[in-house]
Amino acid sequence: MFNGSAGVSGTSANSYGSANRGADGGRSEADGSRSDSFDTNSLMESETSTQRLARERTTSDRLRDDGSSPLPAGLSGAGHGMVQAGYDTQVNNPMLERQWESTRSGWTNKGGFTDGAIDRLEGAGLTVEDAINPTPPGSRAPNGTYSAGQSTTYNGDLARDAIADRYRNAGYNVELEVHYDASLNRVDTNARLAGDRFIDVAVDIPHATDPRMNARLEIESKAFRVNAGSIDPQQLAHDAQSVAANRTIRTGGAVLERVGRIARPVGIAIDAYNMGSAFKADGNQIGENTARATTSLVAGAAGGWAGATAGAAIGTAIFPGVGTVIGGIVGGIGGALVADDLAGRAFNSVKSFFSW
Amino acid sequence: MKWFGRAKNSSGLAASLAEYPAYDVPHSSTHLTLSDAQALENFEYFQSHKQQRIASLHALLVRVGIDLKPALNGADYTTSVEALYQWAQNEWAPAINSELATRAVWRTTHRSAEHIIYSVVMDCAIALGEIVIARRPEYTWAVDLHPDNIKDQMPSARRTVLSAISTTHPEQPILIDWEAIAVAMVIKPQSAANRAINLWLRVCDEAVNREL
Repeated sequence: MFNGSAGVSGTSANSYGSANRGADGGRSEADGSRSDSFDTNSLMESETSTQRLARERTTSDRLRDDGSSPLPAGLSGAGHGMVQAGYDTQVNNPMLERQWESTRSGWTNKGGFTDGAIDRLEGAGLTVEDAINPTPPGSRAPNGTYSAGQSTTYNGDLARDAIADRYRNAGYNVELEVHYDASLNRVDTNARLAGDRFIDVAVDIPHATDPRMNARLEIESKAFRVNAGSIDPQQLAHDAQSVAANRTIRTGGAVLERVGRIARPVGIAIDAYNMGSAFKADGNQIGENTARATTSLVAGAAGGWAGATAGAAIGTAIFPGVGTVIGGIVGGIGGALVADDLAGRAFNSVKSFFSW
Repeated sequence: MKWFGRAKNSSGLAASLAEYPAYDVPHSSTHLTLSDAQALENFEYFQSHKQQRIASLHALLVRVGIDLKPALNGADYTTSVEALYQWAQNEWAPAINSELATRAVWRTTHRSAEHIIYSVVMDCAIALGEIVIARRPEYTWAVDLHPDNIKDQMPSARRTVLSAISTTHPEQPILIDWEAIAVAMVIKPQSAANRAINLWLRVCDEAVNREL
């Protein structure tokens, strides 16, 4: 990307630009015979420092030309970044479970879900509580004072609170009436818009040993017998979408973590090989190539790590799941490539301060 | 354990169940297709085999260090039910091919051979019910033939459940469908709800404390 700049002659016998990378791969420099016979002063007059750095060859350039490695230095860092990004994706998106529970109505003494209701809910990826919750104390029975509709709401609130108390008494963090908009985003207002969803009870359930397995249980409470026809299709659709979206993003995180766990040792092996090649090129001692390879490795690892985490975040924002994986991988490798390249050029600008 | 997406039985429990007796009711088709007479025949099988089923379960549980006898005889049941729940949560699902661990399969299961875990489920359901009965004799085993439940196609309809008369609504008995409650440990053992609270213990407590 830095090639072709004005003032950098691709035909110069001393040019190290990519167009002139020969089979020797710049070994003359690696061999220590740094016969930079071009007129440095005149060249510096006609090019910027960026352009000058652009024509310098990096460790990766040299190693690739040697056939040593087609990959950037620091891929182990990219692998680590993928593992971290995948892990974080799962921790930041706890396993979501939407569960429908039924409480025996104080009005009819009926509760539970019919077979048809269970099939409809479970078919949408939701869970159904198989036990019918007992009628809460204070529930209204037919008495001529209140209508059935009024009592259903009243009894429903009692049923919801009883469910919340059950989890609260067991030591869990519990929220009531959690509001989500139609786009599945959490909303902190009570104003209801079309497509919004209020979850009766939400419970955070931490895992004892693995934060990736933390769960979020969101409960829809019904204080009456539920048949397939009494299920609100909008609630069902919102719940199904929420669970599916959560599953997709968590799967992406898990896949990215696995890819990273594979990439990490592979990257370490490549880095070790590259370091060995550079050391050998320096005549089995620490020299310019070894220093350059070390610089590239450190920078590539940092760039790969940062690129993987940033890429996964961007990919998740654009297309959760698949985007998480692709963003993490592309970001990791891209970050390593860019950092490797920049480090190589930075190294070229300061190498004259050292003597090997 | 899964190999290339295919579930394999590899648990110690699966091996232990090779000789486990099947809960072999006369009619194993889905409960909603049974006639009242067929449902009653299934219930007669339940009544005549109940003690034998508990004995089989005891023999299985003793190998994993769980003793239900004290709980069945009126001693504190908390520890036993907790141990039983943990065992089921960890061991049942690996003991069956995951493709068979569904509600649809369970509804028509013959409870033998590769379905044998569903016999263990039924036996645990019997034990849990008996734990309640030992403390609340007003509960009895019954077959759910309530017209409303059959009309509504409730999961308990024409199946064996624990039943008690409601003090507030005598026309609507209180039913505990222990088998449906227990089978969740095959179908969704690690669900968030099942991880959070021991439902078996909770229902025992509610029944024993007359909260139902």
